[in-house]
Amino acid sequence: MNEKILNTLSRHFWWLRQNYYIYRRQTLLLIVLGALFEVMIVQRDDPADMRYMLAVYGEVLLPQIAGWVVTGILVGDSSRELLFATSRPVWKTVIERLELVISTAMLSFGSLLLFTSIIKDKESFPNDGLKLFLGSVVACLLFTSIGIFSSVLLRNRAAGGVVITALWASALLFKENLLASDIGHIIYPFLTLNAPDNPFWIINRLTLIALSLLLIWGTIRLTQHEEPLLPHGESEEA
Amino acid sequence: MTYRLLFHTAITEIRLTLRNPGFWLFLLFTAVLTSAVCLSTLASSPLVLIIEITNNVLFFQFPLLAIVISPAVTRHRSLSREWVWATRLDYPVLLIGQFIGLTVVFFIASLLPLLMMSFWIMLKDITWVINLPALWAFGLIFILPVTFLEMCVAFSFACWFRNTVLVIGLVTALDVLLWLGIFMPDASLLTPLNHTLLTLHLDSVAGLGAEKPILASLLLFYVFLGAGGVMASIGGSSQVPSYGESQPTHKSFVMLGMFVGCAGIFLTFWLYTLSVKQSIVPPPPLSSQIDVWGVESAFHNGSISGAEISLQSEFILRNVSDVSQNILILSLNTGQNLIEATVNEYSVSFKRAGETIEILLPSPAAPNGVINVKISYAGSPILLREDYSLQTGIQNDSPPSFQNPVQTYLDGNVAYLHRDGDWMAWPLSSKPHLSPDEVIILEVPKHFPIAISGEIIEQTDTYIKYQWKEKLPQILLATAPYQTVEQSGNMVFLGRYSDKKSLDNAQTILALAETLDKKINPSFSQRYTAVALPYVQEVVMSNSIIGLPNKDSYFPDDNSRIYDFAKSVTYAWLIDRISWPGEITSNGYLRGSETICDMPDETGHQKCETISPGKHNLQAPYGRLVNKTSHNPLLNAISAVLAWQLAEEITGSDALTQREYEKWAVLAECDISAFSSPDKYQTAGWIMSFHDALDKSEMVKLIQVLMEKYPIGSPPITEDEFLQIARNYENAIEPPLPCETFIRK
Repeated sequence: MNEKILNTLSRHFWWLRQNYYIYRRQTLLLIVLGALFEVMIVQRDDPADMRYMLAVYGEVLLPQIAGWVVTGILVGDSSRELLFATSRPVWKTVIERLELVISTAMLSFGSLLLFTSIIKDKESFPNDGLKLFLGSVVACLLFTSIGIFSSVLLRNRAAGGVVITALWASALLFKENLLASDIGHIIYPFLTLNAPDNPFWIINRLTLIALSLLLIWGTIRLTQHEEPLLPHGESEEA
Repeated sequence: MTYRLLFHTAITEIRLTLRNPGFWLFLLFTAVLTSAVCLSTLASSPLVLIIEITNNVLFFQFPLLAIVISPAVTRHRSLSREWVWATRLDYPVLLIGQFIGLTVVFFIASLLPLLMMSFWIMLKDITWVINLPALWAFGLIFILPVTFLEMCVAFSFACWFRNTVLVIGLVTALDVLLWLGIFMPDASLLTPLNHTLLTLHLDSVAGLGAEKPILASLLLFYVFLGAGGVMASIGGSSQVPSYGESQPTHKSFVMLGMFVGCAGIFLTFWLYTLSVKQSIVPPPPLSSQIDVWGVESAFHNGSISGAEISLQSEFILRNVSDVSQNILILSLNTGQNLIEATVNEYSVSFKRAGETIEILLPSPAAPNGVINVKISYAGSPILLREDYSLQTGIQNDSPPSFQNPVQTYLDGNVAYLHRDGDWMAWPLSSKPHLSPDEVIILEVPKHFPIAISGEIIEQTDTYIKYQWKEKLPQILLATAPYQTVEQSGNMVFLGRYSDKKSLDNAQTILALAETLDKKINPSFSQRYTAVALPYVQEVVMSNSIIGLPNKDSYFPDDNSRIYDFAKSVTYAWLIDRISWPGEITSNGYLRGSETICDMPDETGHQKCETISPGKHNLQAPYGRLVNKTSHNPLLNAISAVLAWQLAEEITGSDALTQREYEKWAVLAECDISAFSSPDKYQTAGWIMSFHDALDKSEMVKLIQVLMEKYPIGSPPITEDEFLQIARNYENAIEPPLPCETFIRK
């Protein structure tokens, strides 16, 4: 039994590694952005200021960029005929690539938190590091699931990117309007940044996880209809 | 040949963009965003709405532009690489053509938010249709240059990095850092979403008015920066040999673009810094002579020409202080320069010190000594941003505290001169600029409707000469391309960009003023001229002229609006008819400063600390001498009680009065947890005294007596004198107890 699990995990990691070779530039971007933010954060001494910067990176910036990276994992793949031609279900590749991007994002933010806590003294580091991390995980899951679902649904990477950016910017611009109601608190993606002590925080995160899983399930359903996803004549224009 | 190639590439890029679903989604989301901004903006003024839409769209579209634009450049590395190589197409020309095509498409797309705004304005019937072209012009002035810069940034990043994900990542990072204010205020120049655009003030009378120099240079800087950056990126990226594109043959074309761009960047940057410097409040003088000189007589003669005013003034001044004075300090707008000065017929030296002029006296003026001063000065008065803009900071939590009332404005089309404005030299004084013997003669061009309190003494085809004598009213003149409307015998001068609500507000203010007149003096009847004043934020009552403020507040219902205006009208009315003590002080907190207080101890003592970050307040970094008449507790209390009576009469409801009374009652008990200034506690105390001791008719009688005993120009009323008078009507009236427990350090 154990051997079977080990074999499955080993095969899974092999696939992850293969996908990493394809997406190493994109994953590197997430790591480099984290390093750039680290440089900006270490210059701050006020814990509130530092928490703000960490939350901005983990919950606002990283999910949006991860979401954009994800829009390309199927419709941005110029060799997707090959994916569809193999006997391996396409959804498995999509999920693996999704996992890769989310893991890299988490690695980027986790390292940022870890290095900051090591470099800065205890008083200046925010006391809710775990909350910041979990908030970022959920936001990344949400935006990547929106990214993959919208790009597969619209069969266009740019369109998927526009959808994510529009939702992301709307959440920033209409913060006051959204947070004016209870329902807004439940679905608002940047709650760790704007209202970390809100009693709805856990419900909010659970709701967003449920929503993300629903979108991922929707993506899996969409990938089962292969014909519309093939790049008919796309290369002449895109 | 090159131009033909550019044309065809541009047309092809337009076609490709129009076939891109991402572009159509861009349009869809821009339309949705604009609608959401229209729905969520509480202020109903179209001038405020256009600023809100512009700022939100400019932030929102930046990453979307990168998403649509960057693949157009990065595809030359993959999909069209062989094609570019095989046709030996000049790579820079191809990129320039593409950029032109994208610019055309997105410039046309920029009309969409304005179109949506127009539909919203027509649907809500906010303004007259005739104002729409002007609103479109304002919108395009803001949107096009910033959109151009955003496009240039995305295009340049794509040229250099040639990776769509990297470009979008960088643009998004830049956008979010700007929006969240992390780069503020250091990068405020180089960011489209900077203080200037976020807090831009469009005036219903002057339009761009005082913002014109700062805005024109800033937007031109953006255009040149974008164009120069794109040309440099195109030229630079085409030199990279590893990508295999054809080598450029039109280097001079690109170099010329880069040169023009760089020259433009330096020129506009210089102009911008010049405008910024002029809009910053200069440091106050080292020594100030507040209420040191009594003006025994004053004579001013001058003329207005375009945005410039030149004047000759002659004063007889008495040293009313206890010490000899070696210098004379006169307040004078920073845009006007002193040309020559004589004291007692001796030519004297002078220098500018902030918002004042220091004149060295030929011999010290002894206490009670008299000097005769003659000066001539000219220039274009500058309206400082501290006085009219940035009502709040970037975090919406920091009102300006070094704000003086707007009393002078002059540009080519608009002029507003207040008696106490710094357009006319005057010794520093906390009292109104009045003298027992005073004459002003001013030559004013004859081209626009004018609301004026002086009499005509000479008139030609091009100008009119007016004269004001003795007890001068507050508003001397206001002229602009006004729309004039007659309302039940009163004249209303509305700004050319006014909306329908401005007319409603003017009607309300006129009704309140007439009701107040009848209440205080039933036998007196007066026709008013209500005139919209540029940048002025409070009502100004000046005999028969009422100055309308440029205010766009949100009110939940009509009664709240009437109540708010009633407070402004009664305050302005009392200021115009009774002599109140003023105070010129440099005390105040810089914008962006924070006050942190500990909990009160057993004795009620509370320690507060104010931190001033300083650089967040670029408008008045050194503080300023400001007139704090508006902090007079007695005046504020009488004004509030009178406003309650007035609002009740007009609305027929006392619901708001009751709510206000309860609010003040809490403050009157010196409740430290209510957190307010000592002035507010005192005001609350006086309000409770009036409310408990005086009925409506006694209050009116009291005001009649004050008007008679303390007219404007006479020594101001003190609190003790007021109590003596008030006790003639009601013995039980008591002054408020000072809140000894409230200590603010």
